[in-house]
Amino acid sequence: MTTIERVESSTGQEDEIAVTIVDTDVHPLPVSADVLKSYAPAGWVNKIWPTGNAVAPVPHFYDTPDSYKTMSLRLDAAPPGGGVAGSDPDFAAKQLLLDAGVSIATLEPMCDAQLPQAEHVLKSTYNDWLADVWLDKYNWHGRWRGSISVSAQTPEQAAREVERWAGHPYMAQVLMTPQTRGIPFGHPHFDPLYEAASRNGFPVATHLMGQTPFELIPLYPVGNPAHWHDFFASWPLLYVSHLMSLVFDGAFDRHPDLRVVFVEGGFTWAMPAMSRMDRIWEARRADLPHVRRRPSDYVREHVRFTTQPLEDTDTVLFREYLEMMDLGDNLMFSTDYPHWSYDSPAYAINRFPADQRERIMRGNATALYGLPATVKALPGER
Amino acid sequence: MSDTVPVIDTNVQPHFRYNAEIRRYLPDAHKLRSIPDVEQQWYQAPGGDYRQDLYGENYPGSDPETVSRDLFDDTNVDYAILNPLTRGNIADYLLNSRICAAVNDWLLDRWLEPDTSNRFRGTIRVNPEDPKGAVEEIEHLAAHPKLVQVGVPMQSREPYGKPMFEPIWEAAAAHRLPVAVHINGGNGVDHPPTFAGHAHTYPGYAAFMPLNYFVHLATLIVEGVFGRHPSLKFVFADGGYDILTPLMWRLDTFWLSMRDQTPWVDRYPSEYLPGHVRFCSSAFDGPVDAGTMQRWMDFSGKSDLLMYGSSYPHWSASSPDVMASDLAGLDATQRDKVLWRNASELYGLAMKESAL
Repeated sequence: MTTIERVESSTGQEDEIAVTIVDTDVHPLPVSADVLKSYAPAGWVNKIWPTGNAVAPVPHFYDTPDSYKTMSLRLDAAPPGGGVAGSDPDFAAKQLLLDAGVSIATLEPMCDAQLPQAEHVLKSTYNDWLADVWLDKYNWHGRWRGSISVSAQTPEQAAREVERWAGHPYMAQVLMTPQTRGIPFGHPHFDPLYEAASRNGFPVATHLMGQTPFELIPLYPVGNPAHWHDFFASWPLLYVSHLMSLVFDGAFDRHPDLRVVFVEGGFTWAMPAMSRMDRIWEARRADLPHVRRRPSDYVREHVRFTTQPLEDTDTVLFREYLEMMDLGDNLMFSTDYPHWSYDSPAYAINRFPADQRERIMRGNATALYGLPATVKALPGER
Repeated sequence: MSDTVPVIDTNVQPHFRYNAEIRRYLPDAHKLRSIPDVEQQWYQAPGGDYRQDLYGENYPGSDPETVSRDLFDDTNVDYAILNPLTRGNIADYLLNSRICAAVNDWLLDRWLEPDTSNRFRGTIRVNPEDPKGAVEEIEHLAAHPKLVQVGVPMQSREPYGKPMFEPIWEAAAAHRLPVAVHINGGNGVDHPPTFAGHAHTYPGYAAFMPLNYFVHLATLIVEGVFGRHPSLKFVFADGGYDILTPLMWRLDTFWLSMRDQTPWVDRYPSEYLPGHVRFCSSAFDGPVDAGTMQRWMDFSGKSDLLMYGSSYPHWSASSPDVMASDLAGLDATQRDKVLWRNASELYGLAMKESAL
């Protein structure tokens, strides 16, 4: 494995560097299923990993380019010492933090299971593994931040899982699948989870779980496409559905401290989505007595969007659109490292309007997650 | 207004006077079947789907003379495209095809053939779950000069790019008939209306439902339907053009990475828009701030894609005066395209010289 040695300066103090880039979507993987199993309750091992050796038990139904070879991962992110991309914390630190210049990264493990108890146990297992490996053994620099994975199907257990990690120095947010088996985010089903997250100051992030059984892929209202590109281009409509539910079903009124982060689902759709909600709300306020404020106001206060994958349209046109959209306080830069559709900081920053760049690359995330202004330098990093 | 600007209203819903009237047009074998009523649906607007002032002894939008007065006299519409509802995706697809045929026969009998003003145009409603029957209905009616498009529901259990539907689109394209996709009333065997399941409020439904058009559009492009049928045109009658730009950017972006899986798509997906896609306007589309409307329309070339549609007699119906006024924020060229020029080209409706 790659090793990032602790740096000691001549004064005996570790060098500190300013936080300039926060990456809000990075995917760690266990080096093997056996490692993960060692964190699982013994009685569940044979149920969750019935065939024994798969870290993720099911394939992609919508496969990305050459996925049999790439597993949707960057080939150059495979650690030189062996293992799959994202499984060696120190190599990831070298590639993402040192070489790409990311100051702090939020880790979001990907996992899901069909049955409610299995979902809870699997996610709880991932939390123990993440906390032990990435947030402790390989986090002397303190630049990895973690996500508390919770079960969408068992909100009471999810709330207890949040409490279990409350006060952890590096757990930064709650992570829940958006593939909620037909329950929109604004449904009171999620209230126990939202209460626990709000009480402990954790935003609730949501990220697609591509590696899930087909039944856990959202049922598109007019049927599901056949290919990754029409499927994934339409995917933001899942987030639009959840966002409209959060607003119209009153979740932000019931949970004034709730913050929701939509990860890897685009964000340029927020402008039309906010306009639509505002227009309907104005026309049908009598149907929505519990929605006390203009829908777009809730979005600006309660919702954040991560930026990867940036749409690869003309750069100047894209910046114009973002200026018009005026959501510079709500966007947070992300790379999706080590996945194939990675956005580098240098590619991304040029696509944001100049007066939004600092907020998107750093400020919005440090404010949301309460991140420090400086972090320890890695060897060779100035 | 409209003293100077012609208007084509591309989205008008005519109704039967009362729900049982459809039975007159059904064959004997189907007259006694159970058929949902027009407003018998999961997501009806509280208070009714239609303009309150139009409810009376008969259904809103059911009297040709009243509709003519409201559209042609009071708001100076020159042509109105009638796109009637059927009764949802009935599980018995053969029954549904008979319902579509009954609606078509009624539209001709009560609206199009008696109309001496020559200002109404109609839609051939077909049932995509019965592709063979749908093609037969198109072949049966396509020659009628007043039937200018084929109509299908937004609701579907498979997106319209999938191969089972292609014979229908092929028949429509062969007759140069655009295909209008419109949220259908009634009560059928549909999936939940949002990607996250059922909406829990009417506004939650109404805000989201039109956006489902994008899945039909994305699959029509990616499955190669537009590529194989160069004259095929789709009209998305519930609007949703507001979200077109972000989602097409995304489709373009991922097509670039994935195009080896669909090599028949030989250009950026967005390049299919001008030749194949139109939208009817809706009261829910576009920026709240009219000052940004001109720029908003320029993204993805939406000025060439959008056609005014009133949604009359729906509660959200909007008049052409609003579209023409400063409230809409369009410049003069955009306004002309939206109010009549795009529709005139699509439906081959010649506008009177004096009106220009």
